[in-house]
Amino acid sequence: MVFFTENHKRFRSEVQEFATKALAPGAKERAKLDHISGEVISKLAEAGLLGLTTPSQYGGRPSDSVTLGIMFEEVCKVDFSPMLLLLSHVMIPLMMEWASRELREEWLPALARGEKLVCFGNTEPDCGSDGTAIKTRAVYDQDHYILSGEKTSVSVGMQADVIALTAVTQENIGSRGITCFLVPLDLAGVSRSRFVDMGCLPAGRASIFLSEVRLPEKYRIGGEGEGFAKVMNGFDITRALVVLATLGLAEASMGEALDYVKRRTLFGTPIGHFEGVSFKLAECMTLIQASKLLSYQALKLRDEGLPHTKETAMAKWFAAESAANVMHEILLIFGNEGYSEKNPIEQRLRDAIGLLIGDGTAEIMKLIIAREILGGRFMPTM
Amino acid sequence: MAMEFQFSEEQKLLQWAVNDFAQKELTEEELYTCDYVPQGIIEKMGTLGFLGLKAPEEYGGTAGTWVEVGILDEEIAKRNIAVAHLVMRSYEITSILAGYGTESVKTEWLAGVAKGRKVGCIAATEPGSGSNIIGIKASISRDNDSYLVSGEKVPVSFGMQADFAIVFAKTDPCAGSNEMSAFLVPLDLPGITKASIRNMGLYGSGVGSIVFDQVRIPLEYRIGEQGEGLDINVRLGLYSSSSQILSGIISMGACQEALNLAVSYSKKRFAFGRPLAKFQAISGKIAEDVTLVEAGRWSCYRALWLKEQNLPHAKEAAMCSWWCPKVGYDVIKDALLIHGHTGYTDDLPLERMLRDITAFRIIGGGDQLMKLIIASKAIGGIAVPDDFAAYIGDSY
Repeated sequence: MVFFTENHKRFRSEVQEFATKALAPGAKERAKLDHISGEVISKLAEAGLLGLTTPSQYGGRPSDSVTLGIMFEEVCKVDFSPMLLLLSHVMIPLMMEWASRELREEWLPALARGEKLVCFGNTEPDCGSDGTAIKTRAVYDQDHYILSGEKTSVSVGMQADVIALTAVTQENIGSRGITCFLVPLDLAGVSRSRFVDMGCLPAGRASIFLSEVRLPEKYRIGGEGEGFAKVMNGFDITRALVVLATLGLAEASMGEALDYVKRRTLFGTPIGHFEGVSFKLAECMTLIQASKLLSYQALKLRDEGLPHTKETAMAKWFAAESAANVMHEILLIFGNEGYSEKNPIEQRLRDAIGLLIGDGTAEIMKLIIAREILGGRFMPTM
Repeated sequence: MAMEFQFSEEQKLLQWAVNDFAQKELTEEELYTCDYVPQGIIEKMGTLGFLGLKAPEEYGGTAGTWVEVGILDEEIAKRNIAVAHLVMRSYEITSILAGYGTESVKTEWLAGVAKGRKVGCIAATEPGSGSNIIGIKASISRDNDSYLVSGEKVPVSFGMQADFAIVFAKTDPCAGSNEMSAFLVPLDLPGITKASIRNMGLYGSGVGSIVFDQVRIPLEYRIGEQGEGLDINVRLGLYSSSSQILSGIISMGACQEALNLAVSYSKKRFAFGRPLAKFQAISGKIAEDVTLVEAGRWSCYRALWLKEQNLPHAKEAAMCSWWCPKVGYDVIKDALLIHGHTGYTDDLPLERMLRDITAFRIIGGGDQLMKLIIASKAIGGIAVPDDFAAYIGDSY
């Protein structure tokens, strides 16, 4: 792709080499686990891939957004299982820029080393896509906040040691009353329960219940009322990364399909000779390429400090849909073999469907794009 | 005769009865996790006559039309796709046995399937052959007053559960000839090894691989004449029009269930202060999906009607077979996505239905093969590979 620098290219080959050597063995089996393997976490940490947004004084290796994209694409091409952990370990250190020094010193090095795992909670049972409708409350009480509520659909929620979440600190002023907190999950009043999902199984998606959790004030991230803006800013990067991860999966499947159609014969000829197959693959390749361009464009704009909300939203819906469609078509090309668990494609399709929902549905992305091109008064109103 | 787009009173009654059965009986948790359809359910369906509409009365059948077979399989698919798949396969099997079985085969095995006491499976596909049924390597040889069957069949739907298989094998597989015959092989005989295949979904279909090693069967277990196997396989087995159309019917039944869930969710779930149904992005999607299901469903019933009248319907059946499961996948996926995160979990049936319906995009040969059949009728032999034209031609 045209705009990668030499550094980007070098980083890509490094990650490729690391992933092939360290992550490829057992990756297909790990996609069915209900947690992220500790061994994988240590290897990622050792390779520095859990600290790419952590400042160097806290043990990280700060990188630009395009580099993050390359990491997601190349790691997930080989092993998708740690994807949602990689995502929270990108997003939360970025949010922690606004946290107190004490909090940063306490958590950032441990997160970068993979000794502590962090997750992120915004969604609630009665508010999925509409982030301003959250009900979790944080009430200030003598150097503490008392938190009550329920965060749901929390990726890595079962495995994480700490959660970054949003809560309402001031009622009736919408998004300006929302504040971010870091909440250790071993505090009294915290409980969790697991979802049994169609895919993205290692993410161990959870509901996290907070019942009068007493949280010291220092765990607030940024000022009161600044939470919503910080979260939305975070989404502008995670959405592009999520889809690059899914595109990595699609590229891996594409490579396997290209081999298969040369090998598998029907009516005396390799099935790659049938246009019903070869044109499908041509379409899939086009969709993957177009999606990658959109995604890397969004990341590049972010690196240049240019507006990229609309571009990220375009990348998210288009690439997620493309990846799920590509995976479905490739499964069909593999036929019975593709449908069986012997082949990794069925689990990849299940994973890709999750990414149509996670980090914002296509409808929300289109609302964002419409707002950007039509103007805010065309947004749905309460 | 005037065109009529409605079911008769009797047919509506059947629809109600099957719906009632499905609501009451197809509820056990076991159905969603086990790799078989519980024997009790099969026996109940047999007792109610659901499996014997196309078996002669003297062999436990009850006279019914293909449209009625469609009605009952559609209702069952709304509750459980794997059970509907078993019904679909039962009709494939009773058609073959009723048409070609010897008296003893009909008395024991056809009646057994029609009454829900026996489960059969079709063992046609092999590891290297896929959709090309003349490429099979399973062999049959005569040894005094019995046959010896050898070969590997995979994947076989209901192979793990079935009491018997209808096996397609060649007398001389090395000669490159298309000459093949069909045989009924009870699966408890010596020389048979089964292995389960774990799939993405449709667990209840208990797909297996079956290896036959010199399995000895009596002469009267040959189905049809020697050399008639290809014809039977093309018309009633792998390219059975009943299974092609019922694949469509099953998809449409599942779609209706998914749409019902999506419609009721869109009315009670709120975003930005109003129900999802108030958003055109949601209501329009549901409107599109309802349109697709309406079109698909009537295509299936028309094809079943043509089949019942013994009118040509190869093209129409192939249309149902590729298009309806595609619609099925898209519509169930839309319904899942409308439910957001909840749809992705096993708290709702949608993720399972999506995994189940994906099988029907592959079962019977998939889109490309169905389009070849349609093209061979719409354009002619010029549009299809020679090998395919050779056997699809007149017998179809």
